[in-house]
Amino acid sequence: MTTHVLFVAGFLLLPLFGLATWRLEAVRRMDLGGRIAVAGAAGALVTAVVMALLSLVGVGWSRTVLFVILGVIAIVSFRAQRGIPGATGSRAPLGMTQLLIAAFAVLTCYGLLTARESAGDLHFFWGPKGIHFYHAGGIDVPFLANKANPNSDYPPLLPLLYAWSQTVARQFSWWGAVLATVLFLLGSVAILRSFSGDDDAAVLLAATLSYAIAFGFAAGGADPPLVFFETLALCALVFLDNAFLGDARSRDVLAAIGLAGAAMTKVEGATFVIAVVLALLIVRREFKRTLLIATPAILILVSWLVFLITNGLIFGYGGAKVAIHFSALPKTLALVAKASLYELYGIPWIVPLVLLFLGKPSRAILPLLVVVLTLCATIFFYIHLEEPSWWIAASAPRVLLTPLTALIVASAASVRLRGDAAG
Amino acid sequence: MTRKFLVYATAAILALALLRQFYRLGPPYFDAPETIQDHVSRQRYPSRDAIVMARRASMLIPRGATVTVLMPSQAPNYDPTLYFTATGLMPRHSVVQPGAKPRYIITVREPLDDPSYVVQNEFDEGKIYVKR
Repeated sequence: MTTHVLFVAGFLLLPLFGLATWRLEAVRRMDLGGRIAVAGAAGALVTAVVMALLSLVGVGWSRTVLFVILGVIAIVSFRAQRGIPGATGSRAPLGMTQLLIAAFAVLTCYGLLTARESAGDLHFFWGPKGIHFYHAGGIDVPFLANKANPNSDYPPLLPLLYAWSQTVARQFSWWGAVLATVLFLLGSVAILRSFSGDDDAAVLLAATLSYAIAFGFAAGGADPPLVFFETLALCALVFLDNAFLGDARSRDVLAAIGLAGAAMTKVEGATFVIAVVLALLIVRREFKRTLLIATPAILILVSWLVFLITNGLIFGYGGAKVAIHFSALPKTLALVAKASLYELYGIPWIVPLVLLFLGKPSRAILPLLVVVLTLCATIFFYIHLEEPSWWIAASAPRVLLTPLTALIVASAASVRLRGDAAG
Repeated sequence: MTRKFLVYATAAILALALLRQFYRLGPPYFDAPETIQDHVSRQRYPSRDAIVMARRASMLIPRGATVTVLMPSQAPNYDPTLYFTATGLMPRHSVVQPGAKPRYIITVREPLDDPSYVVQNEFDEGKIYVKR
């Protein structure tokens, strides 16, 4: 039991390493939940980057090394934000919104702890990578090169976080790994709620992610943290733009953290970054600022690719050279459409679409473009196989979490309560 | 008001759908499962038994020994997820692909028909074989 608790505690410690984000004006004005979630995203990214850099320069991750370095970062972060006033809002501490979100968190915990939501990929490769990294005291190149380990070149953030939690607990906890899912879910919801001020959208996101993660057996895999980072990037770009909470610096820094985290979490994170960059260029036409926001993500991705090439570990990314089967397009579209119904008549998509049109869709062009582009990217990935049926059945409910979350963000953006409040 | 009603109604539907999803995956509903794969399907996945077997084998097989996990009936196209699973549960061992003729073979559910291996341990979920 102690191992499980300490392993989860490893995840709960992450916000300490990202407390510096509380200096940002927009974050300062958020409620506590939103601030913890933002710090958690920044802390997760900082932890993964520190561990990766230590590994690259050949410094092993002993408990002492990691605790000292991350401890110093936590202290500096804490001192940086100390004395800065927090939220002054008068939102009810315990209302219907919080109760509903808590109810979905409890349902999700039930599903996780009775082993009804676990991702196969957790024990196929995300977990094993984290375990081997921990035992090797760094990114374990011989293990990644072992043919008994698939998807060696997938981005390293999640295995690094698992290795960090294992450093705290001294042992890997499979239950702790699946339980981390509920933290990423709550983090995504807290970010949307704090950035948008839209309690209804927060409830909808909690309900949708709870169901879709369970339906897609995504717990313990990389999709929940990916959605977490993507939510941060999108919410920063959508709600911190000339709105009540808005300031350009906060927007750029938080979006950059979200994009960098997404790129370091999954291959699909890189396509999300491309989708956001394209959407920003089309909607805002600010080339320099867009490049600035995407730079940390690009640096992380390029560094990872250089590391892979140097060590002869390019496998999945090499798939870019695989032929595209346009003949598979009609079948792919039909199968993805079927998967997107979530055996619930497509309600998870229909409702945010209706909410979007109850507001002003023109306010949500940016997230809507991201929905369209990430859907196109999903289809593009799938038509690299002539017969994609099995692949779609196994992954679409998880992969579609990205456009689905973006659509809910768009539905909130169409109302934009904070902007309205600011007049 | 319309918006709030729509969201709350959807949340109720999704909560019910979530309960339906949990129910469909079968009993027992309140017992602590043995592995994280126990209830991801109504039928027990072979990878669930691979977890149980690899966990036991990690304590029964000498560290550093070569080992793989397979279902003999799937030869020669063995399900790779079974030995993928073992890499996480046996980090102190050398998990290899079935074709590498390892010193130990863990079979899931089925017996191994290979005279060069002999049974070392037997369990409900499978057997551990060692090279003669």
